[in-house]
Amino acid sequence: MLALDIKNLSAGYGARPVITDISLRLQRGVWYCLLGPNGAGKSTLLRSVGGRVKALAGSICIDGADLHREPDLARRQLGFGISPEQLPGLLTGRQCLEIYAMAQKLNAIDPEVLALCREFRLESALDSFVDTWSLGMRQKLTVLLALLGDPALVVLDEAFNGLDPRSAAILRRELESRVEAGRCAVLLATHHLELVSQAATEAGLMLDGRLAQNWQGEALAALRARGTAALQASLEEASSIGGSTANC
Amino acid sequence: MGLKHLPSILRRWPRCVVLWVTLANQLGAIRLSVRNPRQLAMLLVALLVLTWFSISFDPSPPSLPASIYSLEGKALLTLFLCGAFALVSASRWRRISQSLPASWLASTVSLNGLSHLKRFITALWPLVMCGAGLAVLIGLVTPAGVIDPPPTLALVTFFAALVGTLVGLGIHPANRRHVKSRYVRKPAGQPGASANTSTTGLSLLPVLEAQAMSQPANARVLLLIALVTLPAGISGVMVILSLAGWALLAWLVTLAVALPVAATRANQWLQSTLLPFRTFWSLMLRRTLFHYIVAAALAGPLCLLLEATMLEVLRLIVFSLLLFFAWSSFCILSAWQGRDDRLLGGLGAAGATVLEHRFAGVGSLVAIVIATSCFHQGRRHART
Repeated sequence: MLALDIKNLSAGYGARPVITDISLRLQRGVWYCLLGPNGAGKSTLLRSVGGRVKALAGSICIDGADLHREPDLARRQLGFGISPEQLPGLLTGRQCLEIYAMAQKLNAIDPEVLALCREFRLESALDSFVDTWSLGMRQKLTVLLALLGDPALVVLDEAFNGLDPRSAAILRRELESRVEAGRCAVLLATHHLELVSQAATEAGLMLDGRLAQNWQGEALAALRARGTAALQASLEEASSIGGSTANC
Repeated sequence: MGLKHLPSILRRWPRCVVLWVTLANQLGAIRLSVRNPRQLAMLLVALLVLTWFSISFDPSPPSLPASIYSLEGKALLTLFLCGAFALVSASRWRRISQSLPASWLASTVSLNGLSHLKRFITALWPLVMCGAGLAVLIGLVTPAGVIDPPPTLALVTFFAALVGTLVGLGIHPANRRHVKSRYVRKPAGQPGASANTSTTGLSLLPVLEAQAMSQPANARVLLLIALVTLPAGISGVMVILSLAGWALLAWLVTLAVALPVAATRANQWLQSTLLPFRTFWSLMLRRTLFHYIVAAALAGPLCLLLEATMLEVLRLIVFSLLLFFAWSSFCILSAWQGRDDRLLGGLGAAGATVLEHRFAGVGSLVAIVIATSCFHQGRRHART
């Protein structure tokens, strides 16, 4: 069963579409990196998958459940990483974890998430208010919340921003282990080309609200072999071509 | 209007100036908060209806000057109420209204990249607004001519408000000196991370938001207002009771203002989860309603001491609880649907109050209908 199946999706704010005719299929065991310049529509696509932006056309299925028709089933398999500023500043980190787990209808917080919390060295700060935390600490908390309940699809928007190198390595290792075990698919919007060249199994480039290019299997391996600089050059080349869609 | 009334008008001019300057600012807030013609039309209709209700049922004396005075007072009060609601919903004004009175000067020090003049104006503007608001409040609760601000003060207020309106700046929340949680009581900590899940934090959120709003700085301003409004020659017990009444009222208003803020924040955070509307609604409402019930239990005897009849007290308590219930349900539904309808909710609450005032029981009925309808609408509403 596909972890994510997007068909001809158009979405936006009000009646104006920001993304148009997006189709994307992710199996469990896939780490998909979404690239693109600012304003290309990456976050809007992720927010659509998270049910935060209304789809104007097309459909989104998460682990076989249609997000519109069976929202509860779909959301049960979704781990959505919100942006750090959306965390409630007047709650403590512990309260955030407790409430989010309750809202996801879990009986208890996963031991893996608690272990990750310890690895992130966040445990000692859990009883302080979130509005006193740094960006990196909040970023870690959003990732922990997204991983609660072992979701089939983990959606993260710039989740590595603000993380120190050690924490970034821990997060990368955690996501890689989940992906390699086939437990989930990861959809990550990022500007970090190192992640694409070292961790991603698939990648896509968004331009002007469209998925302009997809790299899978050998195409991505070839890009990896050429290194980050070559990847950057490929991206620039694809950007200059513009909205012409070409699936490799 | 006959000429014989002219001296009376002249005597009242300082109060009128302060009132109208403040009202101009309130109208500015309405303008800022209204985003489309439909909303503007709705606001104007609501304003007309409120004014009509206020005037048509007023047993005014037949003379023209008296009628005009009455009209002015009612219209001012209605406009002031509308402005206050708009003030809450307008983003630019919200920045100003959320700034801490005692920290305004301190926070402007941290405003980098601004000239000294702009810093001065930025600091002055909210203080002027606070002063003008205070003057209006005093003006509204005292009969005409009993308290008139001195002309110098009125002139200073007028020009400062004018300058502030033209070039005043909002203080961005990022430039505040303290985080909001500074004013919130910290929950008891536990050693290490635990696997428990809990809803306690979410039901506490509106109360925490209210605690953050009613900081010591705001409490000092409230105390000042309360002291100014105390009538002369009353006993010490009455002073304490009066101040307690003010504090209670302020806390209830703060809770009512904090609830939509907390609901919006919680909804943004939990939007992608499985949380159903009924649980969200119940968690948001539970503790705040409990505060209202306790406050009603305290306020009842207080009103009886102030020589109100039992029937009046019961009617007031029932209506207050129902009104809060309706306001909360409406705001929670708006937050759930990702909208900010506090202006509409405020107008609805004002309308229900006018109805209750004129036709006993009708306002309460309207509040029940609003609350029930909001609850059912929320249960039917799918977020996607």
